Amino acid sequence: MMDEITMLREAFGPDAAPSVTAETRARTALVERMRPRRPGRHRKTAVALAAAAAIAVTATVTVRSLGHEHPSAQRVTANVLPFAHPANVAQYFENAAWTAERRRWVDPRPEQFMYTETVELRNQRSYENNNPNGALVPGKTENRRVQQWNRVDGQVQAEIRGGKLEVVQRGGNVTWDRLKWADISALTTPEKVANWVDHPDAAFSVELTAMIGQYVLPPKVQAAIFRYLAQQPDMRLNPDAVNIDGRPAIGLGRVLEGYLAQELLFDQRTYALIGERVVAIADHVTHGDDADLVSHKGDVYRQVLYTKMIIVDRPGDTQ
Amino acid sequence: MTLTRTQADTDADLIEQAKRAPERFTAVFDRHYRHIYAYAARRLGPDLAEDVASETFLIAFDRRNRYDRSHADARPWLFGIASNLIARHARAETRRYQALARTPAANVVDGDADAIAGRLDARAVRGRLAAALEELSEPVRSVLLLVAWAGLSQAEVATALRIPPGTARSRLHKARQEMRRALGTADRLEGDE
Repeated sequence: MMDEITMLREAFGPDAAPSVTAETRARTALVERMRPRRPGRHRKTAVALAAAAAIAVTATVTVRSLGHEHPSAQRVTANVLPFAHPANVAQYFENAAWTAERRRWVDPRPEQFMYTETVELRNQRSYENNNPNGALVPGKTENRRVQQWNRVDGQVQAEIRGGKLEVVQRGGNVTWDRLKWADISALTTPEKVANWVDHPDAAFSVELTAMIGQYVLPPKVQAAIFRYLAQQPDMRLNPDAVNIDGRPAIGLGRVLEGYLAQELLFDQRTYALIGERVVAIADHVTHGDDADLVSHKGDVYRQVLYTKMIIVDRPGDTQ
Repeated sequence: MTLTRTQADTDADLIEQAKRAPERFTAVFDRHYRHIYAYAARRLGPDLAEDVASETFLIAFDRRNRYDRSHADARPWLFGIASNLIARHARAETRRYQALARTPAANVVDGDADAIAGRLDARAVRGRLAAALEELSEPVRSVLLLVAWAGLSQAEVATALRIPPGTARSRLHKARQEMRRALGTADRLEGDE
């Protein structure tokens, strides 16, 4: 009498064999993992790259939008990814790099502006004021649209505040820190990115994932950063991150302080960069002087959707 | 240091060598990748199997320093890693069994009187087995399929899943009972053990 174990073996047919491509990919990924990594590449200190803008004396003006589409607008034009079924973090990043490289792009002039438009999921202001470091609370959140313009030469910043456009010019007592465009636009390979991270400007420490959300990067630079991140040993994959607008997203990033995952979010189908988030991946208690901050696995601390990252001609332009 | 591979290298030897010379781990890959892929493919289908098999070896490589070299054969360790990855795709696995349960088997019991008298044609009952597998909880199913499809012993399954041997035994017993029930052979085979 054939027993049920034998039946299980026979009923489902002979062993499936992997395709040569699949096996080659897997072996390549393994060999890639074996490459020695350079120490000290993964800095975790965030840069407050544009934070100093708050000290600026502001002047309020209204600028009319010209309404024309700039050729550098993000647009994915191809649909055959290098890895149809990525198996590891490096392959996911490679897909993201490949997609990034296919954005249309024209190098901006110094007097043009990087326009970043994001939608942030935040706790309602009344709750946030009392709990500034707390996790997002379901039912108490709201979406906030943030629109910022930064001139490519770093001399002008603008932002929508209270429905009005505020434009700030550097000069006198008004100043802020901003990375030089020439430095950023030179980061066209993972090696250059690595060198830049390992030898930062004295004025800055660099957090690449923050930079990606604050600057409109040339496709080659964005791709180089993704390829650099792919080589980092502490990168992790969250294949089921959920994006702010309900679209399924892939999360790629690293763990901070042992319990917070800082993730860049990518579209699951096209691998286009669509946002970022910080989420607790374990229960944790941070002991403070006045109170303990309790985090629960799954708590979301930051969730941002990048809705537009383009080059425009002047503050107020959104396309 | 020069490391040379010999025919006698066990998996434990290779993993030990890979702690100093990482490239030696490719020999572990070459030995076991196809088996891990085949196992994952049976449970999840070819697309997800590709992901699972590749990721299994990346995780194994990252954990090579923690490998217990008293286990000469790395299969339980590798299948354990693969099982954890497969468990993340429980819904996909369930859908696969549902589809198999609905699909009629290509071959049914033939007309050979001796064969009919002596054995069931396993292919003909694939649908019933698939339906029964779908009903099993993931931990119980893992034990059964590591025995049936990965070819591990009960003790190796316990090692792979990091569960006590008694737990592996009881889960396997329960799973086999369910399979027999699905096959309608419960009464006949209970007495065989």
